[in-house]
Order: sequence, then C-alpha cells, then structure tokens
Amino acid sequence: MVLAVGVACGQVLGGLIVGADLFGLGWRPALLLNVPVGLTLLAVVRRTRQEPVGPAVTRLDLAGAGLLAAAISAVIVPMVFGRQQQWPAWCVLLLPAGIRGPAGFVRYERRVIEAGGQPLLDLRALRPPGVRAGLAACFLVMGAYTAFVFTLTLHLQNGLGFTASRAGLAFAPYTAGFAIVSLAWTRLPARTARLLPVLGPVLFAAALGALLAVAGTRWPLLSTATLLICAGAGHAASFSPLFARLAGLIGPATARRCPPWATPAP
Amino acid sequence: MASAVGIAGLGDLYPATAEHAPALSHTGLDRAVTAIDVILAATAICAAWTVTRPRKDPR
Repeated sequence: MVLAVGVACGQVLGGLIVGADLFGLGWRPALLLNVPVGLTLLAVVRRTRQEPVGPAVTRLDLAGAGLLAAAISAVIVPMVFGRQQQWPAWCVLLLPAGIRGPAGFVRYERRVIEAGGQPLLDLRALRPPGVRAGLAACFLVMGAYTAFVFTLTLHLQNGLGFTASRAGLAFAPYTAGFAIVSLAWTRLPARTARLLPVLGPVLFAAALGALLAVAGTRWPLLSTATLLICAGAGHAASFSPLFARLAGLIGPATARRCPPWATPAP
Repeated sequence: MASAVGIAGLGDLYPATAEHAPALSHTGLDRAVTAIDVILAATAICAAWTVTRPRKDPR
C-alpha cells in the first residue's frame, strides 16, 4: 500500500514540480520534496515508535556503512561520469575497485558477526535457500524500473517534445497499474500468487516491448495508457509477492536480527 | 543501489545514442528497452528459483 502510493505520487508530482519551475530553479526543487516527507516521518516515528521485542539492532555499524558507501560510490561515479568524460584513467581504475568493494564489505561484516557485534547486514539472513536469488530478482526489477522511467522520460521530452509536467502525467497509468496489483495480489488464490514473481517480469517486459512498437514518433493515448497499466501491473507483480516470499524464507527470528536500514525495499 | 545502477548502466544507453540528436530518440529508447527486457528475463529466472524453494516454517 505504502509503496503503491509512493510510486503513484512520486512520478507525477516530480513532473509537476519540475514543470512549475519554482523560483526559476528548474528541476532542483524536486529534490526538496524529501524535506517535508522527512520531517513528517520524524514526527510520526516519535509518536508511534515501540521498543523492540527480543534481540534487536540498536547501534549503527558506522565502519560497515562507510565501506558499503565507498564501494557503491566507486561503481556509480565512474558509470555516471565515465562516458561524459571519455573514460579517463581514474574511472577505469575506480570501477574494478568498486566491483571488488562488496567482497571487502562482506569480509568486514563476517568479522563483526564473529566478534559478537551488530553488523549493518546480518549475513545469516542470506543463508536460507532462495533468498539470494530473490534479492537478486528484487535488485534487477528495481534497476529495470528506474532505467525504464529514466529512458522513457527522456524520450518523451527529447524525442516527442513533451513538457516535464506532461511527461510526469504520462506515467499516471503506470502508477495506477502498480497500485491496483500491489493492493489486490494478496486476495488471489495462493497457487496463483505464488507464480506472480515469475509472471510479473514477463508481463513487464512484454508491455515495454509493445510500447516500443506504438510510441516511436507519436504517443497514442489509449494504447500507451493500456500498455503502461500492464507494465505497472507487471512491476508490482514482480516485486510485492517476492518481497513477502523472502520474508517467509528468512523467518521472523532471522529477520529480527536485520536492521531496518538493510531491507531490500527500494 | 539498484536504482543508481539501473540509471547509470541501462539508462545511459539512451543519452549515449540520442542526447544531442532528438531524431535518434526512438533508437535510444529501443536500445535501452531491449537491455531492460533482457534484465527482466533474468529477473523471472531468479524469481522462479526463489518461488520453487521450500518455505521456512515461521514457528
């Protein structure tokens, strides 16, 4: 429900804020959307926070967080700036280091667990069969989603001449499809719901392929809206049931040892 | 991290093709969506592996 509303609002609101060109700042005020959201969350958490039952993570593993941030940055920064700057030497050197970075992070987290400390990511949560593949699927589907939104937004504005707000509103059918399936999948028969994480990416991919065929040089509203609803539905079917399945595989005892900042949610 | 890698990796296929050439926009979209579809196929395989694993008894 929360994810569905977030996806629904974020995409459309982002386009509207950019299109409004607040204070002549162009796209930049879209980033400030995090400020009221963060302040609201702080207020809500202060009112509703409950003491954890049983052993829970109480201290942030700062060294682990630093290692992970460095490893992620070493991958992301060369990927973002490499092509623009014709792949300078620092990009070529940093990328392999970043790819090896997660291995160093895992080694450090193992040492924290062996020393009886509280790791950023409790690796014992990854042991049950199917968990690693499930997390990989979550990673892939979220990466595919953001790449699709990024690419289609550029195509709508750069290729079809849409304004930022019109491009944001073009995603409304997608968010509707995502919201409907996110809210309805739990009512499906168990046998059908079990297959959703497999059928979802297939529907998502098929809808994107069909969208490619109809949205080359124009944007026919009915057909693109229908396909975006299907793509959003496929995205939700890929993610929400899989996340629930992962929680079941890990089990409550192990999940309690995982800190909230290390969940696979986007 | 998935979002950042998705945009920087797959999403970059569009600007690499059509950033300064709106006429090539559909080609850029075509390349990016093809790559995304490959990733989604890999997702379906990973998900199939997960849903066929026995569920741990929550008790």
